[in-house]
Amino acid sequence: MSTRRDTVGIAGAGPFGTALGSVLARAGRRVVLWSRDAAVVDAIRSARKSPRLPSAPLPEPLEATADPRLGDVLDGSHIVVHAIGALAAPGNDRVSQVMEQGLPTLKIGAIAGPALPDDLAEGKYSSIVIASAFD
Amino acid sequence: MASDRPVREAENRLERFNADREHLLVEVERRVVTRKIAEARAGGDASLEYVLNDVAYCEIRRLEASRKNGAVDRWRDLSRRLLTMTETDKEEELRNLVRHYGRDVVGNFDPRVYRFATGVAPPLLGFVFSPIGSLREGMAAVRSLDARVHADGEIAVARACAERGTIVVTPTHSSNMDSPAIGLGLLRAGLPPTTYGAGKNLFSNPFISFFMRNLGAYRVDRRLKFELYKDVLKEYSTVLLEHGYHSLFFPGGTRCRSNLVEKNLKLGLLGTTATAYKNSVREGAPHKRIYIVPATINYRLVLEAETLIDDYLAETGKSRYIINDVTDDGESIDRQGRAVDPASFVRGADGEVTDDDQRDAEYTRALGRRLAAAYPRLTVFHATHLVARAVYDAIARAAGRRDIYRLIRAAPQQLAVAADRVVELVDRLRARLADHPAWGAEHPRIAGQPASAIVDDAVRGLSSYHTRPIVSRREHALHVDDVKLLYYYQNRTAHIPPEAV
Repeated sequence: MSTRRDTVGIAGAGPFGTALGSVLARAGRRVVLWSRDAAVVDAIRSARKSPRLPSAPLPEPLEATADPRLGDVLDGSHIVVHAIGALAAPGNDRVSQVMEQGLPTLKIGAIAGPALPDDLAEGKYSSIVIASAFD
Repeated sequence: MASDRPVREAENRLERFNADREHLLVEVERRVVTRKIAEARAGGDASLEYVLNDVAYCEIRRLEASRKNGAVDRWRDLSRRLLTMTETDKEEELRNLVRHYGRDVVGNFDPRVYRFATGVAPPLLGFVFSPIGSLREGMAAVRSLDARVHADGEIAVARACAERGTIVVTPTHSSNMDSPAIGLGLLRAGLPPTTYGAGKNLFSNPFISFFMRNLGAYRVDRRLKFELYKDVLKEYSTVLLEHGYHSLFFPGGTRCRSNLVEKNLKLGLLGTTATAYKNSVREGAPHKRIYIVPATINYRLVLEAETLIDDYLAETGKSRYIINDVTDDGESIDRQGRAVDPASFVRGADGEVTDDDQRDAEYTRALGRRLAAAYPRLTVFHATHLVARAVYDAIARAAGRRDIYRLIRAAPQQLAVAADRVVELVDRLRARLADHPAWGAEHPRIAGQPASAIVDDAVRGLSSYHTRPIVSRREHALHVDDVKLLYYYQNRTAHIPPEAV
């Protein structure tokens, strides 16, 4: 039985989020992949394939959801790591800053390449950078 | 299992402080000694020899520098003995030192002194805050001076928090008068008195020392630089918070030399709030919430302004030439208004309370950012601030630059502004302030007054409070006699951007 400690939530079912979910699910972790696109969620649930990264195997421990209430299921103990390399209008805030405003946790970090989603999904050696003010 | 009931202890908790004091000291000693011994047994730089040597080394350096050769012998002796001491001897020495510093730090609260001080202090404080000119108005002025101290803001929320948990008041810091002023402000707001750390140097005056010693202040000796002393101080603050004693910290650390609304906060003992709450959750008491209450102290005139701005300009000159919000009843919410459980912030993924110094330090930094962001909105402007800003804007515009170092060297004729022009600029500044509540608000005393009356009021204060006038009226113009102090007072408005030309 998986516990809360074993569960990883991934916000964003683009190529990178899907690849990370694939790696973690193959390692035995329960993964909840969140997408704002209901079609992506349906495809993962029915075909175990994501239209955003068809090469990635998505075994059973991975679930997909489009539930919009992401903030409602988090609390201060959660760590949120995002993989969105963009600045948000209107003040060019970093996504971490935007998330800090919108989520009930302060523990937020960012994950970035140079790994490529296809390489991750195929299990090739890759390197990624993770940054957070929290250890 | 502990319930999440409110604490509901609105009374002056400091009245039970003296009965609690020995218990608090024993707890501080137990925790510090236990932790130090555990760290020492883990090896590395945390050995007791290292801890004790750090104390001896710092004390020898301090006492030699102050030429107290008699007192230094005790530390030289410890330094020598360390080489041959057994671990048991070192533990005993550690325990004695922690006990000694605990007793040096601990405060006292005498309800009789509190009642006396709250009766006498208001008029005395008002007297200190008044311009020298009002001395001529005699006793009638002295009686009305009490009314000069004003507390405003979301006081009902702060009261609800004080009933439900422990409040930590975190004001800006610009004067040595801040402690009595905020004490009086709390009294005015119907909030309970707080304990606070005060520099040991302030205890050298027998009169001030008497009041501070008996009103819950604890002593902070900034000359003691070694880690053990800081550990005792932090633990004392943590234990006070855990026992529900409302506290006051100045997050800025020392007095703000520039009179700017503080942005870079040193935080200091503020970090003990996260530790105290974590300990309470671990003890099964998540209802013992700690609420941070940001506040600003805004003086019409600042007693030490002359020395403070000199310090600031000397310092900047060197470099130049070289956690949750709460509802009205104290319920914790996030920025989207969702109810949150504050205890979850100190728990790990498995739901257990975790010790994580790095996480707590990050929480404290985040708290510092929130406080610094809250201060401008809480700033209250007096006539002196608005007029100083208007005059500074006028002379800066005439000179083509806002740079204080250049304006200091401006010719006297460049430092005169038509009085009508100042009135107009004050009017425009007030209109901008009314449109931007995030910048702060006018003091209620001046809110209904015409700009001309505000200018008169400010000129009276700015020309008579300090040893030399800052601004004086000559015929139809205001002349700046002290640009540095004008800059100091206008700095309170520095977060308001200059008006577009």
